[in-house]
Amino acid sequence: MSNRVSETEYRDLADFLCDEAELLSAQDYPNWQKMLAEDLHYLIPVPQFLEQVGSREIGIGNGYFDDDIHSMRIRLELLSSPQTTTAEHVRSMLNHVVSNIRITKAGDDEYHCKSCITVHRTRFNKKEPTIISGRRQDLIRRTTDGFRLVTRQVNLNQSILMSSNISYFF
Amino acid sequence: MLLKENLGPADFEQLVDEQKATASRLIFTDQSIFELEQEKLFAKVWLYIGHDSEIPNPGDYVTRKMATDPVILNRGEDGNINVLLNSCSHRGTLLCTTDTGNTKGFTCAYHGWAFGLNGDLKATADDMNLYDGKVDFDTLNLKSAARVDSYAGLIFATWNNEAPDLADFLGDARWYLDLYRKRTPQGMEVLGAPHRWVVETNWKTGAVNFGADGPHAVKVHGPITQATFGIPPQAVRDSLLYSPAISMGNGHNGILPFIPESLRGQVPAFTGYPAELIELYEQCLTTAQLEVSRDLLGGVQTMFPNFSSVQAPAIFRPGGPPINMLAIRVWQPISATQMEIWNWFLVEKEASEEWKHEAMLAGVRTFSPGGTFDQDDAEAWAGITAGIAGQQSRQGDMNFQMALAYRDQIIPDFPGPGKAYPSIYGEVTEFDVLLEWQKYMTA
Ligand code: FES
Ligand SMILES: [Fe+2]
Repeated sequence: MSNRVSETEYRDLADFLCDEAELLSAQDYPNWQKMLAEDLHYLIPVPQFLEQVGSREIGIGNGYFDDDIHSMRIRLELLSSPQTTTAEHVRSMLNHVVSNIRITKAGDDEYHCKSCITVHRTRFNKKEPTIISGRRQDLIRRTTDGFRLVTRQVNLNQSILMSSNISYFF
Repeated sequence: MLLKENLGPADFEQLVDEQKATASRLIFTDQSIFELEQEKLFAKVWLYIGHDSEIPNPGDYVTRKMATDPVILNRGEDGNINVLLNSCSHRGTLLCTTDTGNTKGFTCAYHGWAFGLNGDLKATADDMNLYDGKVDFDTLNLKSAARVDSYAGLIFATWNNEAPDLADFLGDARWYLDLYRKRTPQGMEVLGAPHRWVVETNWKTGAVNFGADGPHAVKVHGPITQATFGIPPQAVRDSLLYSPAISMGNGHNGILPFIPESLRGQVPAFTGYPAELIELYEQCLTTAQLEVSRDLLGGVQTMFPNFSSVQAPAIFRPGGPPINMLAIRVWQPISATQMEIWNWFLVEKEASEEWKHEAMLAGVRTFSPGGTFDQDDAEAWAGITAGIAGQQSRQGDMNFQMALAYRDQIIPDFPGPGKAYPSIYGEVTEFDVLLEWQKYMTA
């Protein structure tokens, strides 16, 4: 079986990624949550500058984000109301730019989607936006009810985050 | 108050007012004060560098910071721990540019000078005889920290030859440090690479907050505590209002938040640490230490000047048991209005792989740049900087005047050393961090 996708599949999945980006920028979490699979794994490892030779890992590893659907729901609930978030009250101005989308088949109804995501974020107390960008590797599933994000790993390009917090998603 | 060009001891006497329990806002915004801190404080005091478990084998290294200076922490061939200035003795180039690795030594990218793990100069650009015997190569070893020592796996270093022994510097704080970091025979290990992020605030904001600030926990963290631990804000308030805050001496401060009356019986002993770990705690801690540990909800501490820790329980799985996470962190001074937080998670070496994984998840979801606690703190702290930047606003005070009500209420016969005050709302121990800061700045 070739893992090439048809033009329609590509178009549908690219739409999914752009829809998702729009919801994330708007912080429309009730609707973004509908795009997540029950077996979600959302992971953002800690980027490091390592030797090409002689590199080593310390400990079991602790990503910036390592969420399943349960912890993600708690996060989304907290970020959805000004009563329960300080970080996003007032809300940031966010712009999620998705690009470099490449898609291959991962099975009958699943797809590997690679993309680049760049988030421009402006806070009320800083004039310039902070810009963080990352390479995403997603597993996306087709269901009778539309696509669902199953796993997402985001490799960010800052080893020291130039931002007070990450109170949004990639 | 207007700042003069050359600040002297008399100025620092005024910048923190012990009687009034206030501090000038300038110490959180002024760059000339920040520069003086580098000299009078950070060059003099013991600083946290890293954990024993990060460099288990000879040649293992991690790159770190001692305040504004880049350093390399490594384990030598002899097993000794070295802390070296990460700057070539030839023209100052940063030597080691990776975050971690294993090596036999460090070679400079510029002219190729090479140094051993202990900082000894091994080679210059070409034949060392080209110097014709005119240069004493012993003076060109990498600068090492004057003293390096560790406690409970926590490695500290100082540039100050005259610094007291680390054991004396930590002093009575060791009793409280043990409660969280020295309670099993093998001790603790880090779970991974540090989380590092920039917050637009003075480093002292973090040190003071972890000294620790009770009421903000209700205001800022009430919703998350309810969502992940099922504790209503009222119970958080009760715990903090009626639990002790401790001044451990030498500027080390912390809190012991107990399970409040309203939750007695609902929270397991040691907030749900696994039975096999509790058994080890019972072996390692003293009767008095166990007495205070058993009913703790967690704990927050600042070891002066900028090394803090937090232990807290969280439940991120519906119906799941509470999982305790322990984070340690350094508030790295970057400028008067910017710090970097360097944050690690620790777990007992004896813990099961499953518990380690769960503790890691509980940690990264709460105390990290994306953590539900830290993301909110950072916003409040950056708000301070934005709020006190102006000509009018920077003239005001940082107010710790709850201390006026509580500072004379020392709990008699408290089981631990130091001074225990009856409320985490008291602002006494937060303010104590600044009083200690003042001692260094006026010395
Ligand atoms: S600066 Fe390092 S070798 Fe010249
Ligand atoms: Fe906090």
